[in-house]
Amino acid sequence: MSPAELSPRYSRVLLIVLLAMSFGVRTLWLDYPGRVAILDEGYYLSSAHNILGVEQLPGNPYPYARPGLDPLIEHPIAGKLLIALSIRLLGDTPYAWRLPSAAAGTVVIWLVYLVAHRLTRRRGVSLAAATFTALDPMMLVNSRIAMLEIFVTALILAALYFYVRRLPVLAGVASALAVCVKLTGVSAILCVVAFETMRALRHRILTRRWNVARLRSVALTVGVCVICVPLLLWLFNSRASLFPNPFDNLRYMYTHLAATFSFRPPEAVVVPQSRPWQWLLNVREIPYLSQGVLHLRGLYNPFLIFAFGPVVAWAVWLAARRGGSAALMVLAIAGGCYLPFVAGALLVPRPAYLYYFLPVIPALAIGLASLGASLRLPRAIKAGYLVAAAAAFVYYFPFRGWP
Amino acid sequence: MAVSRLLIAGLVAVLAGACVNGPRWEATMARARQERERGDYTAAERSLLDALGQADRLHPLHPYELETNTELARLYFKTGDFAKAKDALTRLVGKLETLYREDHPSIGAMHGDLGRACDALGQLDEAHAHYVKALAVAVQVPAQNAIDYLYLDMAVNAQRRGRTEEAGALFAKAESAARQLHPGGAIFDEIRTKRGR
Repeated sequence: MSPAELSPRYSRVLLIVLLAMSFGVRTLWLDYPGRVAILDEGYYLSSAHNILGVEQLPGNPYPYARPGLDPLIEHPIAGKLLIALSIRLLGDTPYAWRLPSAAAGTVVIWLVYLVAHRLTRRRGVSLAAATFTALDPMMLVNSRIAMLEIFVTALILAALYFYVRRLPVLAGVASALAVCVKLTGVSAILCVVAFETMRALRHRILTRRWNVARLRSVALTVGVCVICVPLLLWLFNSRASLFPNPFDNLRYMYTHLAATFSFRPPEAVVVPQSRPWQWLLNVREIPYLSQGVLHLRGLYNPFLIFAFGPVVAWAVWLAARRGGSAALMVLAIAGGCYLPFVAGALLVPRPAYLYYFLPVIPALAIGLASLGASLRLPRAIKAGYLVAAAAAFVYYFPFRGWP
Repeated sequence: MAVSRLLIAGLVAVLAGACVNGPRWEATMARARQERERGDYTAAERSLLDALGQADRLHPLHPYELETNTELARLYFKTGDFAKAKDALTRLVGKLETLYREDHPSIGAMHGDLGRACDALGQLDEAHAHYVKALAVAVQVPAQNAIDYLYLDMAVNAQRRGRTEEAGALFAKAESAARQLHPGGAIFDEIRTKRGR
């Protein structure tokens, strides 16, 4: 039986097993090595603790923050509020700090399945895409730490899923939420616009007519996002922000993002910076934490990241030839989530890090699974590739022993 | 159609402007530092004011705005232009107090500097008010905020306000703090000289 012929029931069981296993490894020993902030977690946890007014961890980066307010004003507040909410509900423990990330990381895998299934209508391909996503070490690490990247990735995918489900209002709201977690969440809208632009252009070239209904759909998504960003920011900021209004907050974040190059806080954690083209070579690893049996290494699965070139080449070929939705989506995500960093790196000397590539991983997973399905190769070779990716995942697995 | 195009062009210009202002500010600040090191304070002031204009186009709380005001205040202290130093420090303290609690060591240190600027301008009561705020922070971080020098400045301020007893007590505190923080330092000569006056 080829993966494309999986029965709905069988594929549902496999998906549930995959999600359960993924959630399991994402929450496994989440409190190890104790009350220690991992890399930039210190900033987000300090922010959440300050908002809640609970005791800070040692080495708090904002010892003089105004009580009750979010001191980390370079980023929107939503992600930090989510961490604070988890602490409020579950207590101030490492599990509470990181459980929202573990949940978001599992949702990412589920959304990859849903998006791939919507675009390819093939359960086997969708399962393979979800499995590739689950096997990415960087995805795993970001699902185990209280940082913002995994929330943004989940919300970008949610926006794209709603969009391909023809729910443009929900897509706009999800995009706005992504922006309210981190400004890079604007990639959600860029992906939607890129996806629809490519579809519309192809339609125009073939029929010499614009598909107005689709353009209306993308305009609705963008419009809802533009309206929801200040509304949601106003709502989230209402109690814990020092900014008088959401526009002032947006202005601060934008100018900070766009214009701050040399300013460094004195206690800045040294993280290897990289240029966006280096990300494709999987270099400049992020050393999240190495303590005891835990070695959190920030690298992508080589069997995913090194497939970027072939996957994009395949997507371009297929999009131009047949206009396949999956291929267009792969290009849209790569265009919306990766190209802005390339353009930014060429224009300004802003620091960038390997984990900025995280939202592109679902596109690679969907592209790789679709490419694999379209190639007439023996099943053993395809299965072998998946096993190799799994072996790489095991190699980079963060625990090197029993804590 | 023309209006919407104009609006989009305006938005793009504003967004791109923020990207351009960063590198321009960095270049201007580097020039200002070179000019100050050369001793060309007039040119340094001009460059710093240019940098402040570039930082103003960002956000009032942007780190570049804070850094430029700090550099300006330093320069004005060096050139003895205390009125301008006071303006720069007042701007800076206002912005920092939006971001941090009043017990932030930098805010305390800036109140101390504001006190010195007011003293130099003959605004003795205002100087005293700033010194009191500076002292509230300095008692928590005495070494970082050089509490011995702060006591000394407060003592001189009290002298000038005609509060002899208060001044005497503050000189004593300055001496006692200096013994711990700067034993054998030049501050003891300063205390003797100023007390004698």
